[in-house]
Amino acid sequence: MKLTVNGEIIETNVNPSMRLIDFLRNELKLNGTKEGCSEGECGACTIIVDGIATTSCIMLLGSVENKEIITIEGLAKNNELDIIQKSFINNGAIQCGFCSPGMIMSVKALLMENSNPNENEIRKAISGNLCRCTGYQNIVDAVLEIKGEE
Amino acid sequence: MNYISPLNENELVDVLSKNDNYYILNGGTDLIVLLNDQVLNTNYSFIDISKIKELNYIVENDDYVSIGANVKFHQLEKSEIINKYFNSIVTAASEVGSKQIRNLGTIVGNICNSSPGGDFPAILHSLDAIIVVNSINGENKYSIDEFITGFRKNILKPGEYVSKIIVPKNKEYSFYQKYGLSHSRKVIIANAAIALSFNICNQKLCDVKVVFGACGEKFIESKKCSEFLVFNTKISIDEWLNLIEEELYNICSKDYADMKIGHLKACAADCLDFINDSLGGKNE
Repeated sequence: MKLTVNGEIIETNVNPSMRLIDFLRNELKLNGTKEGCSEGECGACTIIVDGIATTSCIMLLGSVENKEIITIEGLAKNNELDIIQKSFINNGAIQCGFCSPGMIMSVKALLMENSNPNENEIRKAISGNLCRCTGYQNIVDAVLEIKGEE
Repeated sequence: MNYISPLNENELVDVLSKNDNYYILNGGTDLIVLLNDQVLNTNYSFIDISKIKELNYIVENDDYVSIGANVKFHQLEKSEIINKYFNSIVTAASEVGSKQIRNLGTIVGNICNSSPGGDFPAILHSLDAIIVVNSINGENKYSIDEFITGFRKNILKPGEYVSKIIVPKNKEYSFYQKYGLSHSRKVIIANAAIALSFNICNQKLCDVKVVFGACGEKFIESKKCSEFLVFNTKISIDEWLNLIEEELYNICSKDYADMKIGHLKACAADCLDFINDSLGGKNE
């Protein structure tokens, strides 16, 4: 089967019943995507599939055949961080960092759909991502600072 | 585990008729959790229906709206047709799970899971929805009450799948509210819920259907509550909440009702606000 990951076409013979997160982490060695709850509740494993944020721990590889996937590794270009990543750093929106890849991918999906979200829309977009450190406000501030610039 | 992904309904019917041991993957937000928990039978196959485009539609006819088996929660949330006719479905679709779950999960997957905590069985019962089941032997139609037979049990037999849900447009008003907390405190899983549908005739409620969700092995219709709302032009909050409490304790054991009553009354209070707003809007 074929799929596109971070712009690269991937052909694989791996069993399509493998979980997508296992394929990304173990087969493609894209370890930026984290596994937290394994139930689709914490959002740590969030990636973007055809423009939509989804939790890769509750998806099978076969379900993304011919689809386009973006993981956290797909954001930085030419050794330069994405504007979202920079804003997270500048606003102290990262503490332990475990939730950050999933959180940033949820924000990326939001900004791909709506480049100028208000605070409620931002909070709704990240409502499926748990963060035990930041209290969320710095994350919201980081997105507010860059809205309209994506 | 083996993975099969039919591309159209004919292929799906064929695959189902030739395989005895399978799990239909329709969203997978619950099924893959069971895979993670290592409780699935690894000799079974996944039959993934997500690639069947002809099952992904929301279509309006004169008297009803049809929702295909592949329609995801986020599609319901954004659908102009669903927003026009079914407030209760929009409410549930916009509140179920997290954003990511809403992007994956489907309404048909929700009813096939047949969980007592599922949002849509109670709503679909309140709206008199029809569940369409297909197989190599043809099509059968069931009410949701016939379809869900008990705790995580439904009428589906090997070779059968739900192709669509038909929702009549004969109720002008519908409402859904759930209360409860999950361990994550972010995703609310109903501890108690109320689904309601009604029309307004001569500035009074008519055609009322009140359904309790998450209060038993499956949803429970309360005819007493429905009749109360029809016969009372001015509804007292105290009388309404007392009736809700009386009904719950009639339906459930005391210990079980004790766990539910707080959340169910909170749902009922919101329900009454919705009724009063609807009547007020009609009287203006």
